[in-house]
Amino acid sequence: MAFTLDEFYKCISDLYDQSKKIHDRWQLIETSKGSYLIYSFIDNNCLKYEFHIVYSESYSVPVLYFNISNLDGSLLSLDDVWKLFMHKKTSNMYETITQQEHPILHRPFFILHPCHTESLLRKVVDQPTKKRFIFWLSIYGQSVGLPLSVNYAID
Amino acid sequence: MTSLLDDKEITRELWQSHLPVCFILADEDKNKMSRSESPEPLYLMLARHSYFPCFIEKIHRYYCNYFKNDPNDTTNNMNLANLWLEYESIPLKWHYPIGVLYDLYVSSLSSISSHVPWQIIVHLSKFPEGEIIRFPDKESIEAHFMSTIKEADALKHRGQIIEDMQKRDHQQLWNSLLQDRYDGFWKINNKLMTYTDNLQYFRYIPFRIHILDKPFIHKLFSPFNVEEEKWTTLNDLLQFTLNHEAHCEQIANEKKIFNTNINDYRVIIHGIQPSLQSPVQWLSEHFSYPDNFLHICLIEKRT
Repeated sequence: MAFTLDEFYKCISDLYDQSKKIHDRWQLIETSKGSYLIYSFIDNNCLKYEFHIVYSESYSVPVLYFNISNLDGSLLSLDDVWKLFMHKKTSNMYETITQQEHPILHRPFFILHPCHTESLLRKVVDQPTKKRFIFWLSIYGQSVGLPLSVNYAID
Repeated sequence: MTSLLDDKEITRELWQSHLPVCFILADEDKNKMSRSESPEPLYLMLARHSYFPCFIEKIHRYYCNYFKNDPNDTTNNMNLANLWLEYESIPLKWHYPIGVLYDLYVSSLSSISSHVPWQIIVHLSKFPEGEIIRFPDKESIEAHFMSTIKEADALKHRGQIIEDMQKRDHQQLWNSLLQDRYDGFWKINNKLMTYTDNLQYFRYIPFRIHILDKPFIHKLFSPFNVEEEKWTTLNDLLQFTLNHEAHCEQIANEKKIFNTNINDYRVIIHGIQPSLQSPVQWLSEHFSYPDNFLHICLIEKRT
């Protein structure tokens, strides 16, 4: 169910290749601390979104990090982010999103907590790795405003 | 692993370990004071295993006394969310336990021989949001602590133990830490120190290596070498991690090559220099911070 580091790298480099083909905006960043994907855009309300897909060795799963900033560069607070996506009041904010140190950049980023990722991925356990990756990304990304073209789900 | 009954006393000693801290208001915030006299420093005795964000309210309330007479104070300068701490021009990454920050920064930077009380500058404006995490309330630091403990359990037991716990057990871990109740904490924490998957040790050791001016280092590392049938030591862990780090830097063609000679560092956990021959399994069970991570500070020796 989990992803090995090599499987993760294969998934993000495939996604990156496909993104180039369909002229999408994913970027692949390679550093001595590991590789990750970035997707950023500015919405109609002049908010800048930045999403990072980073591998977690501890959980052996991909993790979605993000920040949302105003045009002056100031970051949205967790309360602002929570309101933005109108999450149900009953769900616990802090069990879903917390601010953490980015494992490669070591700056504060919001993180969709990965502790339930593995149980989510169990639902698609018999699917190939790439399918499982897109499945995860579409569900996690959708909850915080990451647009994902349907093209990625097509072989 | 056989361990003496007395070893439990070590965890109690570490739990009781405190640091005297002296909080001083930053000059630029003093200028905004309505009163003419400067605020006296605030002295607090803080547990090494605790977190600065737990005391933001207390520090904030203290300085509020000096501001409250200003009728024109409509700015958000006194907003609690803007409070942050600095030592030697470095914003303190206060999502790490207080003892870790002290061991890392004071041992690395202090030029004087007496380090206590630890003098920390309090800022009430210009929060460096690109560098440190915001903790606007107690719930946010609790959430951070719990997510770190969950990560530790993912490494030790694939997260099986923390998942099987009741929510009230999670709360007891945090509340015991806040209220300084050792027995309450260890009643639950003992469960996190057991073994799963038919092993006699943890799958991987949750640890972080802290070096000044470098991002923390974390790798997957097993406490038992199955091929050689022996326990791995702190020395093994450090050598493995430093070599790996240097190797990655080499591949990335970064010019600054990492110093992999362990003898060039002082190795500090909880303010103590443990023997490098200590088995990491034993260290993980006795020398981890309450977040279940071994926070190892490497201080480069001055030549």
